[in-house]
Amino acid sequence: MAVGEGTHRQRNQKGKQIVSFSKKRSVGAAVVGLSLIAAGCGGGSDDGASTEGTIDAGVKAGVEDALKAATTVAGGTTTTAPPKPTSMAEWEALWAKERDAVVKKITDSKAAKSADGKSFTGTNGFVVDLSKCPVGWNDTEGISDTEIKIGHTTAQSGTLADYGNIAKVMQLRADAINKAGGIKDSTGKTRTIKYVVKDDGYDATRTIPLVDELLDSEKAFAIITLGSPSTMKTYDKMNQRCVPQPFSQTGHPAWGDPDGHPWTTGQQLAYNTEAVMWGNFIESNADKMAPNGGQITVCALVMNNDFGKSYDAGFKAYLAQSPIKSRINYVTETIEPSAPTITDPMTTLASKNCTIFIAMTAGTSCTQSIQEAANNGMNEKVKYRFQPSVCGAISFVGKDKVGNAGAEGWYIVQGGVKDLNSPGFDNDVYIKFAREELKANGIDYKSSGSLGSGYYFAWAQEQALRIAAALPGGLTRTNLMNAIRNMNMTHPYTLDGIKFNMDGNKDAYLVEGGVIQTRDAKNETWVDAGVVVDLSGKSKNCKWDQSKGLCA
Amino acid sequence: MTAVTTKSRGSFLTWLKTGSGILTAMMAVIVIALIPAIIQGGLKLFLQRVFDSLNNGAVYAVTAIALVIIFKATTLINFAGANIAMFGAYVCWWLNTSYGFPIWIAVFVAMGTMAVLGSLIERTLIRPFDVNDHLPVVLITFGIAAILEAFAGGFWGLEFHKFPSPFPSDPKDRFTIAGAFLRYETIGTLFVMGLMIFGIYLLLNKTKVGLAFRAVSSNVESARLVGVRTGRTLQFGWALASALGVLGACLVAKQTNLEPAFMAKLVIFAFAAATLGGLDSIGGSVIGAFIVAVVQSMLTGYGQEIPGLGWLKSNFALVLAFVLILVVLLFKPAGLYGTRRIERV
Amino acid sequence: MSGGSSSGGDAAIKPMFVLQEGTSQHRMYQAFGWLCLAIPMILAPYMLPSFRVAQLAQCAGWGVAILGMNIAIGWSGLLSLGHIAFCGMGAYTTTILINENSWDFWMTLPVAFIVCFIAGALVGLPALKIKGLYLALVTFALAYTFPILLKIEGGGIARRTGGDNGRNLEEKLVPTETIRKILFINGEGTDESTRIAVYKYVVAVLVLLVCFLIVRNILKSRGGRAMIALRDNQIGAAVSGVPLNKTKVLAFALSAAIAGIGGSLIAMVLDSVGPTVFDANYAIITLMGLVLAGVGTLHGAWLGGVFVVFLQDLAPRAVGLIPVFNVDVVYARAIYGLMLVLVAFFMPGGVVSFGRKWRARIIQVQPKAPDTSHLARAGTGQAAAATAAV
Repeated sequence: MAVGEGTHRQRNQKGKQIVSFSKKRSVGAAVVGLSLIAAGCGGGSDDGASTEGTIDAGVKAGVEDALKAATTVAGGTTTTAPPKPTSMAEWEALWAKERDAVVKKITDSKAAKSADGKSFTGTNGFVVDLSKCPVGWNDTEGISDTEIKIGHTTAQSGTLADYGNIAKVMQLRADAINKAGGIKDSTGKTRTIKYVVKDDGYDATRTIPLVDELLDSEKAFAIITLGSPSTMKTYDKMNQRCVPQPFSQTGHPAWGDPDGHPWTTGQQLAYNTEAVMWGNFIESNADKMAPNGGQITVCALVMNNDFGKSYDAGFKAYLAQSPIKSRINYVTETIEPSAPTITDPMTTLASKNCTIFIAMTAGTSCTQSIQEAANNGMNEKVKYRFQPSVCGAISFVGKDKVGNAGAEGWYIVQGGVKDLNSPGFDNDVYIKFAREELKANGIDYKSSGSLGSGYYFAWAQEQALRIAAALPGGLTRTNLMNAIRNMNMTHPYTLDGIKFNMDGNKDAYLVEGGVIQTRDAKNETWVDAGVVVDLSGKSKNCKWDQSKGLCA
Repeated sequence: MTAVTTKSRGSFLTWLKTGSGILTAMMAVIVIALIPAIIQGGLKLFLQRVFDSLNNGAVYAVTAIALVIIFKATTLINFAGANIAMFGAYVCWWLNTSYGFPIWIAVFVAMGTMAVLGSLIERTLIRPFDVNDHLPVVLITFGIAAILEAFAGGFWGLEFHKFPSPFPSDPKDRFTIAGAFLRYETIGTLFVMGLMIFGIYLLLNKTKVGLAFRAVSSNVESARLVGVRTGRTLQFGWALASALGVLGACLVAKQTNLEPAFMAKLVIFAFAAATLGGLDSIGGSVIGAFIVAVVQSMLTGYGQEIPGLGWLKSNFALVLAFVLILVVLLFKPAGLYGTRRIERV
Repeated sequence: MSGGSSSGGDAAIKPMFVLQEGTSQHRMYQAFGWLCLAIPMILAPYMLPSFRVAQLAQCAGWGVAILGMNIAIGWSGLLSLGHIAFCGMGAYTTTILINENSWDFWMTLPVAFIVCFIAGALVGLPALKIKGLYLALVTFALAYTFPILLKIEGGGIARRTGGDNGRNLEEKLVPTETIRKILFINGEGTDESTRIAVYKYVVAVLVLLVCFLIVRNILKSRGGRAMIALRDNQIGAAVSGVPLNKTKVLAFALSAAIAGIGGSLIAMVLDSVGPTVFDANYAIITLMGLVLAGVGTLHGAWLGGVFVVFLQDLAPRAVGLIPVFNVDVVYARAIYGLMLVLVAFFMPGGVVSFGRKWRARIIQVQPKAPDTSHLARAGTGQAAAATAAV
């Protein structure tokens, strides 16, 4: 065949050698060198510029208020939590009540489409210009009299395929809801939920055509995407097409943009909000960390991707306006997500006399940072060691993953979320329910950390659909977005005291709270080390500027 | 090419063109550039980085040797090697955690299993092809890599697992030398690497099959003519390489944790090591492995302390390794210690 | 060699038809061949749902990239696994020019070509000395490092490339009124997404066609023949007066430049770029596309992109269809692993050569007497591909 013989013949013959190579060699080497130097020189000037403006004054004020309140009312939490439901029936009743409240709020606001159908005026400033939607756009596309079709792109293959378990739980929840009667509409119809799940392997290149397929062929009512890159690369299109992209499974701040991207919302604690909470922890404990106005060295291990950089930028922005910034010395080491080991950067950081260590990483690197810190002496020297909220699950910090003494003494800003696998939640009603449901479906709840996330996401989807369906006009795309943007509920999978709410255009993030906790490795659980800080409504909306890499 | 001539010419430039010359020059430049930072960082940090490099270097060396053995035998680069090793590490972990095999027994069983798989792959998938036609074999090794990755994920789940260390691995299991920690694990890894190199030396130089292997790797046709059973020898090469790869994977898995892509992440450094040292030189690849490890630890560690180089963080380790390969290959296309099998017109 | 010659091993099987090159039957046959290619390509955007059309446009983009890779791998014998990096350079050049400088898409193509040509020449210089699998390793390392280089904070690089998130194209390709009329997409039945998809498809296919013709002519030129001679026998080529170094560097640079154009198209079709599109994973996938379509065959360009896009799209779906026990989607990756192995075994020349082998049993084209022209097998694309197999 043509290839076999033609392409790569063995060339055994030895010929004369070309003599004058030296010139070309040096050219090649010089170019490589130059480009590296050029890259280096620009560093200083760019760094400063890219961090300005990210800090969120509202968030900062919120943290301070919360802490102040906590110190005055000793030990008390800042929010007055309603009595905790003790059974699933009580939960259901609570949610029904909360849903009714949301429905009432929206109905009272007289949210409706304009007479000519050119715009939708929702509640609390939420307005969608429907005249820009494509011709032939339909508010009820993707729903029939009996079914709601929701598209979902997720990673079921590739290195991040564990996220695919979220879709598994979503499906399982949908089955249960459908079996129990589906979603009842105010127009008298009853519909079942149908998820159309597509595997993108966490590869945004593949997400784009899959979203096209869900839009054009499947005619999905709404599409849920997983991961920042995939969401970022499709959210312009989703908003031009006026198709809801609710509950995106990523913590990027860009999803809180009701003016520019009214059809997209996130559901997780935004990464930069978490960074502010770290900053505040340092500020309020500064004198404990370095008495008499001493220097505080904050060491961070930053993963060189969108995720790590969001943390890094958020934290730098916090420091830039911090009153004790002169006392803080911020040192970072950067790792590639594809780095096999992190021994070298951890050695570098261990040599910096850190006061605080923050792992701004995800996945295996979290566990590695705990292991390395135990081995290189950081555990003894650095008292305050933080894990990021995404690594709070027992599948990252459990003893069977970390080994030895576990993650004893590590701190975390819990992103307001419980842990399905953690024995600390053994008595939690909803966790028990989730575990039993998984067991009934033949899934071991300990088999993946993403199963819990599945419950976290699926619950919100169900409630949003129920609220939207109960609105006047029944389930429509605009009603769904308005329902999500005015949700105010108690999520069974978030920690007590964390609100799960949005408020029109004023508050564009669902979860904005967290609590600083430390690891109790003996009981494999996180215990509160501070007050629950709920910043609901305090984060500014974020119009993401992709060329600057920050909220405009 | 008669670049290397007798020492009587004594030309410094001639010596500089040899593998050792380039190596010395490179190291000299690196060391001189880093001296201020090293002094500033102190002895403790320097020693710690040396120990880190030793550990990384040993792991890269074991993995690189696996590549070199296959290259020597078949002049192929085995892109599946990483995932064969990964699969072996999973087998080892599985035997250890699910069936309670002692860790070293599990390692040996896994090595054996993957050796059998390696020789099967050679016999069924590689041998039908002409070794001089690189492309199909590159494809097949990529294919095997993908299949093994899928099956590891399918059998054992996609979440990462902690790998049981084959050495004492408590945080306190270490010597403290001038404040720096030399972990027992590092010593163990180095010891295993040394043992392995010695074993390979004995195997290749003192046994019949080793003789056959050397004959085949120097010239397949002549070996066949003098009656060496080349097929079996190649199979032996694949089995040996697969087993060594598994050993390398089991040594590093405690640091990387076990996930389907963990060896694919690491193998690029082993590639760099083998290319640097010479793809057909076992000794060269070991030296290459330590160079890559030193560059990784020292250049990224100390480099960022040099004013103006603050951007040189650990994420540049791979880029630096890549630049290093390019520079070396420009001067010595067969690597520092490789045989000049690659000819020019 | 199955190429165009049927006088080889299959001599026992007589073709059903024998055509003399240059006769009217032969020309009709050629026209028939082109029609067989053209008709489905023209009809596809009007028959398929818009997301499939967008996928086909992406196929055309990858097709150009594969055409570029083929120049290095197929015709020059430089086994490069790093062309994905050049693709990426092209894509980012286009994106940055559109976003930062408000250029139009078509203007960015020549710039992408030049940028990648220069980059290719720079990487090609070491390629003079590094050969065979060493080159494969070094270029694979390039594919590995390219996404890391994109994220460099300094020098304004990450700001322009968008770092890990990549960037969305701020100005999208939207057909004007005239173009809509020409393409018959201004009717009531078509919605905006279909129009954009069709327009992108047409642009991508036209660029692919232009690249195809350029490469075909280059292969037939003096330089092209020098390239192929160099692949097949360096000594022989050198003796015949082929300037080896120049040819190698130019071939590598050209292949990089064409791959860069492919990258620009991909950016245009996807309306976005990101480091994950141009990483080592895609280096392997594009290589797979190239080999499945046919290494060293011009017509592989039409098919290569189809494999790149659709294998990934269909493999997970195919796994779901396997009726035996509940197979997880995780195994989708095993499907294309298996595919790579099977192709290497049963279709080493890819689909194009495979098809050509079967065609030779039906129709045989007898070449003209050699004295008539110095271009021995001028004419169709098929014939040009046959030249490649000389």
